[in-house]
Amino acid sequence: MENKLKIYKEKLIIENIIMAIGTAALLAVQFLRLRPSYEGKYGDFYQGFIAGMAAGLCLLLVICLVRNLMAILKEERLKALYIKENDERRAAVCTNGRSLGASIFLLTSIPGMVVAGYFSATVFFTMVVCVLVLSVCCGLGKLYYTKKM
Amino acid sequence: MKTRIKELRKERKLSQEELAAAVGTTRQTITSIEVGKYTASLPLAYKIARYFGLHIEDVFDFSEMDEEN
Repeated sequence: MENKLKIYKEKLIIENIIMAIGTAALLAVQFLRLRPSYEGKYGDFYQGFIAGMAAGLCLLLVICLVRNLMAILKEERLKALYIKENDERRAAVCTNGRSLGASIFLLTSIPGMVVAGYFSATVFFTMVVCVLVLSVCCGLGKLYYTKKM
Repeated sequence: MKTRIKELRKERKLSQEELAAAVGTTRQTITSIEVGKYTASLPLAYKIARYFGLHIEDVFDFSEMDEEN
């Protein structure tokens, strides 16, 4: 168990570095957009929406960073986080949930794609790409795990 | 799958939290196993049985599988 916790701790440190870089990059982009000389290509609503999304993502990354940092510094929290993340029931719930979600997305997107095709070519092709990307990812995932297991 | 985990836990005056910590899982997983909603994997079932000092068959009820066979 101690060896596993040591490896997990190293994984958390790497995760934190990546999240810190991501947060810094997001914040940098947001500050650049706030310059007076910045002229947005699209309207205020769209820019506000993107800024809100970026802020939400930053907040999420910071929460994860703090959670990981507290686990790295305290052994008890590290063990609790390790157990929570590697719990078999949680893994089964996530796997089944994601699989069901992907199936529902594909089943509803295909008729949605057909209907959208009558009204907007942009929406139609966007949905085609989304469905294709998800289908390819699911297929590749199945191939990978078929060989692995 | 039916189990005797709750009965064994009560005999030893253990909480779900304590049992979960001892076998390296979460309280929610122990709850789900006790009510029969979730079937433990072989490694987890073995850990639980070993914790109680019993064989797997003495903790988990395999009679349904025997009937199917």
